[in-house]
Amino acid sequence: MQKQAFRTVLMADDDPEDCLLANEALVETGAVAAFTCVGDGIELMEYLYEHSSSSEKKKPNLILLDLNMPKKDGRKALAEIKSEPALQDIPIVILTTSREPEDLALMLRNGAESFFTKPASFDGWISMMKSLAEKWLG
Amino acid sequence: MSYSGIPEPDYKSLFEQAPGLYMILDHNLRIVAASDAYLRATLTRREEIIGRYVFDVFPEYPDDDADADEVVPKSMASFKKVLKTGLADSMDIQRHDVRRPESEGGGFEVRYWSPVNSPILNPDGSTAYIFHRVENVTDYVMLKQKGLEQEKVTDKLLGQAFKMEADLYSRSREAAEISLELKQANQELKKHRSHLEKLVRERTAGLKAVNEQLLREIEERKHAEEEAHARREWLRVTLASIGDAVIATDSDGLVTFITPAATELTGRKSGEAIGRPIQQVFRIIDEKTRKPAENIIERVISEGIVINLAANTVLIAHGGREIPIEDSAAPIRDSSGNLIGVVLVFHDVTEKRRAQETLRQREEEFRALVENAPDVISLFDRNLRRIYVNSEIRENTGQNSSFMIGKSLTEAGYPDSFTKPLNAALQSVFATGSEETVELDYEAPKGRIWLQIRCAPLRTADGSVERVMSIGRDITDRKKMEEELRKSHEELEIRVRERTAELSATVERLELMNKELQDFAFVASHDLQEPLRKIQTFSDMTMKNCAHSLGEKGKEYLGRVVKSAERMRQLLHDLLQFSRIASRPDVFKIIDLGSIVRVAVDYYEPSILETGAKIEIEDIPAIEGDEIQMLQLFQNLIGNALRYRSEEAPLIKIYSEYHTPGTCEVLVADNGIGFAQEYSDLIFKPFQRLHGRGQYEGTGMGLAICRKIVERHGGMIRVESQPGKGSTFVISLPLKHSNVETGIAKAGF
Repeated sequence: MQKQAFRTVLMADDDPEDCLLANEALVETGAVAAFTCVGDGIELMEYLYEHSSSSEKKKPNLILLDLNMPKKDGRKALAEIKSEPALQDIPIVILTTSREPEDLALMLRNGAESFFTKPASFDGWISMMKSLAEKWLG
Repeated sequence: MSYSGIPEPDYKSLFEQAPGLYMILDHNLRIVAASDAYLRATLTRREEIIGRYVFDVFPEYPDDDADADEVVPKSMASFKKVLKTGLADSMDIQRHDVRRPESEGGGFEVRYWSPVNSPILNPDGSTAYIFHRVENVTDYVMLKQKGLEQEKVTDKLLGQAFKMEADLYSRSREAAEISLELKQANQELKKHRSHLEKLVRERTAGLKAVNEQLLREIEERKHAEEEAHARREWLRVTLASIGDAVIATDSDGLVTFITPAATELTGRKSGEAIGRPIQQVFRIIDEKTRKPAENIIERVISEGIVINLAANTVLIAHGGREIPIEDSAAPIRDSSGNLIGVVLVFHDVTEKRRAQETLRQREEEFRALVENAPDVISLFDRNLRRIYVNSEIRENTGQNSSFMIGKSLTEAGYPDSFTKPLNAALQSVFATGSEETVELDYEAPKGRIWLQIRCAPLRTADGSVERVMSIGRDITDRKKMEEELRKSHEELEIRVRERTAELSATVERLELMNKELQDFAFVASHDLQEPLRKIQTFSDMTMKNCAHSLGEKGKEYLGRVVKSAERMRQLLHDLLQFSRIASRPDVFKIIDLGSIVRVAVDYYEPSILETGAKIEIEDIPAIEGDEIQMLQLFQNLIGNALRYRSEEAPLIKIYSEYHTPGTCEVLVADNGIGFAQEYSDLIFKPFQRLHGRGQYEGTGMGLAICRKIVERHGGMIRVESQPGKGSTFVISLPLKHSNVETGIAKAGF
């Protein structure tokens, strides 16, 4: 397998199991990428500001954003990232359990690239991560 | 001009029986009339000659001595002259032989005539008739001729005498005497002739004058007749038109005239009445005394004044019928003021009496009504003084009604709370003429009373208001009841308000609880899904990654965990959907149910192919509704129909019916397994299933969701089913919703 450029996936989710599953699934896809998880919107923004201002550190290549988080939820975080010139080019994919069409439409209007409903099986996780990796980490 | 008293002569018989010989010809010379004398003289009969041409009846023979060139006979010439000139024409003595009747041997008898022809003129001056008048002068002419013959005989005798002088000398003297006698006779005859001729001329002139006089009189009489007739007719019609009966008498009291109305009342025919003494025709008595009433005719005659009969006069008609009458009598005077009669005018007053009696009775009835009315009825004059009050006043005041009369209300002792409003109302009625009603209450001797007083104007004939009637009604009881009613009404209202407030609070509480429950269901189902999803995922991972260390038993148990988790996920999913139905904002718009049904059918395409199902969709209308929910509704129903199929290939019919205006019914009928009708309510409840999970999949939420969707659309869903015969779901939905703006809805398409 040819060595690929180093990629970073940042997941913002207060559910550690989902983070675990996402990480495991990403490994299963064989993609060479670092996986980092933050537990709420505040942490997310801190991480992003820190990694965008340093030359040693690198902005993530993809953000997986959960909408329902403590402190600062995904809706607010999305708006903040997309209004910040240094951050707005980072692709954001919404991971949600919500099927509210209004919610999702709003997210897409606010600059989210896509959204996925969290899968109910590990196979589902793998195939989801596979398609995400192909699109954003290739 | 008056002919009164002179009976009209019969001109026809006058003319026919006149001693003269007259014949009237029309302008065509046809005979139109002839006097008897003329007929006798001409030996003709009237019926034989009337209407015939005169010369056919009396042929004219030219005189012996007529000129040879005289073509026109003399009579004809004279007639034509009269017709032409319009002037009378006397003719020479004419010979007209007359036909002798066959009974007397026939042939002609010699007649000589002295004719005068006079015109009878039309108003325009032309000659209408010729009045032909002749004198029979046959005897005279005969005598004259005889005289001439006699002379001839005398001469002959003289000749004979001369010849026979010798022989007859003895007789000469006798002859001479005869001659002398004859001469004398001759002279006598000549004298006689000239006398006769003179007589004829005189007679002719006389007749002519009489004729003219007659013509004038005829004309005058005709004129007078017409005038008199017109006057009589006018009088007759006028008197007959008067409803009153009229009888006229002469100055002796004898009836001279009676109108039809009078004959009817008196019972005497006109013929019977005329000439009778008035007392026999017009018998009157005093109604009360039954004695003959005074003879007003006599009084009129003696006093010469107009007299009106006393009231209560009764006319006894012929036959005894009694008729109450009113009458008057007046003198008739001639132009010089002399009383020449009396005219009596009267009429039947039976009806009038009856009307008066009725009026009196009505008045009594009304008086009784007013006196016995339960209301206080008063009359007030312009000075607001009471001029009448019925006896009911005693009930209210304890005073006799007489005490009140002629007094103002204040004078009668009423308090201000009574007098002020009532006086104001009375004044208003006097001023405006419109009714007024006042309600007032005051302290009466028997306690506080409420009165409702209606004041109405009483108008005089000229329309002015001189009296006002007040009708006062004691409404104390009513007022007290009203007061009680008002109080209890107020109490009721307070209670209703309290109760309403309580109920609204309850409703609010319930709504809040309902909302909380819905939110809870939503949150619970949503949040419960999360750990469930983890259970599923990690079970899945365990099954995949750790299968080798689980062993067969472990794998079987884990499999059950996975199945249960999946079932729970399904339950939570349906519960979430169910709870979302009501919480969804109203997004009703016009939607084509037909295309929604087709989309729902497409959803099941794999299953339809697999089962060989046939789905028939008929015309289904557009309604106003929530598109997503309608899709869900039909997906659930079609899904059920496919799921609960029988051995046969499924046949699903979807169609619509209309029974109530503004509403449509959409029916989804299948040929599936069906169920007992007794479960038709149960199946619409959440989590209710009729079959074990081993037989058919499902959470038991599908029809509960369907019902909730339909109810949210203001509709109803029911089902008709029989085990083994299939089920028919009937959804009735309103076509429109008031909160849908048509503009927006249209823009949606």
